[in-house]
Amino acid sequence: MDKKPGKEFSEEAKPFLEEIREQASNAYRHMVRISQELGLRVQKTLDNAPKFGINGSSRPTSSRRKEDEEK
Amino acid sequence: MLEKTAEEKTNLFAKLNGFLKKEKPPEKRMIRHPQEREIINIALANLSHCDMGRALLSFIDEHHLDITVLRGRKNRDYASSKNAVFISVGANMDINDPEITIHMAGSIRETMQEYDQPLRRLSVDNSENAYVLREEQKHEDKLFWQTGVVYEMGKLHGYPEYIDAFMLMGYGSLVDAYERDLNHG
Repeated sequence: MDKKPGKEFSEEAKPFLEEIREQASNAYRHMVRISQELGLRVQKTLDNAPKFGINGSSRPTSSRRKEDEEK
Repeated sequence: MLEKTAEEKTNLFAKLNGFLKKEKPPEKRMIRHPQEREIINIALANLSHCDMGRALLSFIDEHHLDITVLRGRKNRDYASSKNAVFISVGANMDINDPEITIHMAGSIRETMQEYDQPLRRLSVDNSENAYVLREEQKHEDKLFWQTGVVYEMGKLHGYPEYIDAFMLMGYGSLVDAYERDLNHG
């Protein structure tokens, strides 16, 4: 069922949409702020995580464990 | 031995699953409205009396959507997703109040919008202007469907209490505008 608002309805609904505009704008800004904070937090976690291989420590956990077991 | 056996772990998960399972009576879940089932039955039965309401019901059947009635602090409000319909009903509200059916109609329509590309909620990857414009379009569409249900119930099928309830919600003028469009159309 494809029903669309008519001209009279759209005109009458305008004041109600103005209320929504402000709410939607606030919600948008809030979500953007949350997503940015989350992104920063993830980045910080990644920065602080132990690094292995070429740019980090030379011994990954599995090989260290193996060496320790051999000792 | 402190380590739990695989069987014990499975039992733990089964127990946890039991807490989350849909079959658990809604009355046992704190956040659910104690009369959830009655509210759903009444609202859906009411919607079946009019064309626009029946279109909403067909959509629920077609997409096997779950309906949840939450217990709200005040009156009713709703928020829906693609897979579920939610309404919130004040704990002390009369479950026969037509406003509940009107909110149910709005909530189902919001879910329908998620299946309709031009009305689907935008993510924040889009600009603020685009997001706000889409929210306006969605709201107008939802109000249109709620008004349609109210008009058909109140003016075509002899349930004037729907128009009274919609007026109390502050949307009485929309019914007149809806009718004018029908007469001009």
